[in-house]
Amino acid sequence: MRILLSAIASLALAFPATPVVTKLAVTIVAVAPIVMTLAPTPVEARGGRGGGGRGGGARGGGRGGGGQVRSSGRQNVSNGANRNQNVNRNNNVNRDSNVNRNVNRDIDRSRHVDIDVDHRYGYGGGGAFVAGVATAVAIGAVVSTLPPSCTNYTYTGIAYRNCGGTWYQPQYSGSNVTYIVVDNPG
Amino acid sequence: MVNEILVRGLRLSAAAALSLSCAAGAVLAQSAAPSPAVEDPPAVEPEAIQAMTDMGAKLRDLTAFSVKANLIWEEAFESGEKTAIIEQVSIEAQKPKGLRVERSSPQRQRIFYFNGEQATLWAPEIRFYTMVDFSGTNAEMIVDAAEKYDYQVPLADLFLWGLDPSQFEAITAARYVGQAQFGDRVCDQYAFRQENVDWQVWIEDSEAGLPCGYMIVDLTDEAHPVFQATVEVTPVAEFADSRFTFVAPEDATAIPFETTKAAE
Repeated sequence: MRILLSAIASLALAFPATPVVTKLAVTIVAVAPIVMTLAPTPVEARGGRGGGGRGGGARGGGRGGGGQVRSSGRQNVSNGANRNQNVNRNNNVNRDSNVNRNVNRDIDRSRHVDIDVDHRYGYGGGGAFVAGVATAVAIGAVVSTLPPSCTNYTYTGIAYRNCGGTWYQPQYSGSNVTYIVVDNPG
Repeated sequence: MVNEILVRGLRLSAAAALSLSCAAGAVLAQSAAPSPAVEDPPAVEPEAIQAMTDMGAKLRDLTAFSVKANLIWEEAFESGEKTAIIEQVSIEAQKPKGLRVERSSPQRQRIFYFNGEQATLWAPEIRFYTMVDFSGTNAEMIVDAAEKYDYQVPLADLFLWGLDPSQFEAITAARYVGQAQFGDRVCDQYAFRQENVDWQVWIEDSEAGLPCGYMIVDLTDEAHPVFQATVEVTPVAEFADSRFTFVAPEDATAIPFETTKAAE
């Protein structure tokens, strides 16, 4: 199985996601319930809400300036969600390609009776990854964008992305799609 | 001579007594004066709270309605700079359980469905969806989604204002500001303050009494980011049930809501 997987991975490396290949969207079903899809990882031109500055995505190029988003403000006065978050965000901005973000999230779960949506972002140093360079990322870390050249997998019905050997599971954090670093699901 | 001195002395003491009595009179007059002519209005004007209660009740009275809304809201950056994000929201809501909310900008699209049994959040551009079981009314689901999954249904206030009367107890200041025009609509403006947030609501000056818009200023960040929605609520006879149920396209990928919140 491992050999088969590494063969598949080599195939993925040999055929980087060019439009021609991705349009074919080849799906290979392995013996085990792992499905690898050579499909483009969907990219969303992200707003900074809850996750970093605007940039990257389809428009290309960061629109930096002002630093990172520290608050997206409150959008309701009645609803009971009260989230106090401390997000430690490590960023390296490569202005020629994408904005890469490495989010280490410490979530303060203290609850209050009153209503408050409070996004607080603190920024740590170090540990960031640079475009195209695979760096060990801690299991449980949450990122809001993936490094380039990821491969899609489905394992027992759950979607994963493998980017340079690191496994990510996409999830909704509120209305944002984020990716949590997980163990190798295989 | 003696008499003359005596008379002068009497005159002096009379004058002193007079001035003393005048002074005393002034003091008395002051202390007896009623409160100033123009009374300060109460910090929380009952009419303003009543206006919110009535508007919330009118929204909940509608069997079905659609909402078209334009949002402008701000992000505050580390530098203190703020930039605005503009989005459109389109809502179809039906009592007691049926909700579809589309929120979109060129950068991001989300469609939220609730059919009384399941709630789905779908990102049509990036093809991810998440589906969770919920039973209950639209308002119950909106509260649950925020508490369990940290998901805020866009314009949740429209469904929650006045539902729980105690929510207005948090208000520390409330007043009627005046009238404003939203296109053809003449709307009454009310301003409210509570801890960490200032907010304003415009309510149409008509029998329908539906909201024209609202604005929230977040005071927890020193840049005070603003959220502003201009809304147009239209009563509708009925929506087809299929509007509230998500059917996953073949190329859609199911993903979970972040579980840490739900796991508590």
